[in-house]
Amino acid sequence: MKGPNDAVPLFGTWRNAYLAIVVIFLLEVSLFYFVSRYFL
Amino acid sequence: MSGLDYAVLFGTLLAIALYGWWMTRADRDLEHYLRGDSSIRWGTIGLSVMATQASAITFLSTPGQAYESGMGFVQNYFGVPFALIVVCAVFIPIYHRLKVVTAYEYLGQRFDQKTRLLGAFLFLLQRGLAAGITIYAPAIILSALLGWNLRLTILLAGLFVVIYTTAGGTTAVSHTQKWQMAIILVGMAIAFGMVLHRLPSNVSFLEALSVAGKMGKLNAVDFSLDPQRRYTVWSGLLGGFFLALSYFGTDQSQVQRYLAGGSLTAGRLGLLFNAVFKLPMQFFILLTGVMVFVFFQFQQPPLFFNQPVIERVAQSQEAGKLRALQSRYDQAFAEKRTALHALTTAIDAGAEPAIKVATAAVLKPQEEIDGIRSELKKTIKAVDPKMETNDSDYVFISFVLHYLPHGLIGLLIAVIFCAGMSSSASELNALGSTTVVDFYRPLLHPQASEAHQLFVSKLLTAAWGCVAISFALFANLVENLIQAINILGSIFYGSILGIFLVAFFFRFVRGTAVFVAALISQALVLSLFYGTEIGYLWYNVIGCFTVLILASALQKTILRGNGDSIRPTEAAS
Repeated sequence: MKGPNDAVPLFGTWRNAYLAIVVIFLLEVSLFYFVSRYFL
Repeated sequence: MSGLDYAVLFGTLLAIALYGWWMTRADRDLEHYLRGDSSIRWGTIGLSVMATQASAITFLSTPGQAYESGMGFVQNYFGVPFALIVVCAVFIPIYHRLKVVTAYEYLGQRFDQKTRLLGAFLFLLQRGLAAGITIYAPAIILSALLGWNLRLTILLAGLFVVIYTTAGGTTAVSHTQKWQMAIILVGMAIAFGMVLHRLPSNVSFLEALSVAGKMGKLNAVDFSLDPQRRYTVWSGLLGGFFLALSYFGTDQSQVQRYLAGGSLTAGRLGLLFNAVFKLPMQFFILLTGVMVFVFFQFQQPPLFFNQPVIERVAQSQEAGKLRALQSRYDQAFAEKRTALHALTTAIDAGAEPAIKVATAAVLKPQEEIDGIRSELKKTIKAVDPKMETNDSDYVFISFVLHYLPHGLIGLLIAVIFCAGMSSSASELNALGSTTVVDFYRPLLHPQASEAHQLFVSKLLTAAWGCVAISFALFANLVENLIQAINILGSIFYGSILGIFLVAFFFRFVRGTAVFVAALISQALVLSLFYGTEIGYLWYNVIGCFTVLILASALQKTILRGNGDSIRPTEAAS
């Protein structure tokens, strides 16, 4: 989609926004994994 | 509950309902009623989407699940961020371009009327039943524990929401959900803080986590490939992805949330907000349940949390057996508490061999307690086979009622009602809109004026509210309420998602092929549900792929050269 709707606050482009979501997901799961293992 | 609790509860519920009515009091526009106000911003949409998904069941059942079987349930949501990315990249732009009000309108434009009606019908069937459970779930639990009349509680849970949803439509739903979600988040944060505060003074948060870990409650990530296990990373990523894709992409109760506001960017950002915060929120709710579990390791919990059930057993001919079980339970718990103090001392000292010995000493009486609870459940069934033996939904609310100060009890009960109301509002709003847009307008009254359509929309929203309340009034308690909602969704979502994915990505497939494929897929999923024991998240995958494969195969073979015309939408895409 082109046009004014493409202005994405913070991320610049939607592709960057989606990549950021994937990175945040990996960090979140890593934290869950750490909590699972560390307190065994 | 004290007068203060009632004041907090009713003050909160009334304030939100009045706010919803006030924000839409001058609204007489059909477009606003169905689509929402164009000034709605992405933050409101994000909270609205989150509030729609987080029902009362989330806050009653999820901590109980963690209490019973640990943190594994969080994996159910691993597919959510990826599904939301797909919805943002593929679904929303198409819905915006075609200016549809319901997701099923798109099916009519892409395929034909019968496929649109099938999609809308499956939604109405699934969501109509779910709306009943959404109202029933908090009512059955709160009435049991607070001694309220069940029917009055159902009416309280249902009537407020029916009134402001019917009056204000999508705009009222979005605005009220913003505040409902704020109350929910504040309430849960306070509850979490209170659990930690109520732990013994010599047990820190880290020690509490250690105790939970040693007792097998922090198993948040499981890489097992066993398909019989309900929650693993793989079932969460794959099954959860398809469930979330179907839920966020094709369920009108969600589609209507992110199409509210009218801006593509606002809708996308609202969904991405959920992609970031959904997992931490679920993790946090589960962690609250785990902390409640740790609290009840030091403070003896009741043998069974559903007290009305225990009272019935105590009045039956099995009363003697119940007393014997209670006596064995008291003894085992005392033994466990002593062992736990030894464990926390060993954790403090960081002595690994001592920790292992102490952990084994804790797990032994815990096994005894588990055995006693199993015997109790058999005793309950012997008294009345219809009585519910799963008490996990009662754990968190029991903690709230017995261990939180007055005022906060009212706030936490308001959290549960707010969560129920926010989900019900979206459901009723979507059920009413779908019935008008996909059935009433095209089939019964194509030439209806705007004013007439607005009147019928309000009438049908109220009618669906009555259906949901009636269902709640006559329903029977099922195993675990949050699972019941997810299982119900999984049975239908796979086929619906399959239809939409064919629409988006399989340009050569026509309406008849996808229609037949969806019917076969639905029959297959229903036979799997009744005939097998596979984890329910897989229904989404199986249902979806059956539609994709069958629709393609039918179009290439039996229906090759079928007379379905190419729709204008398809030609334009």
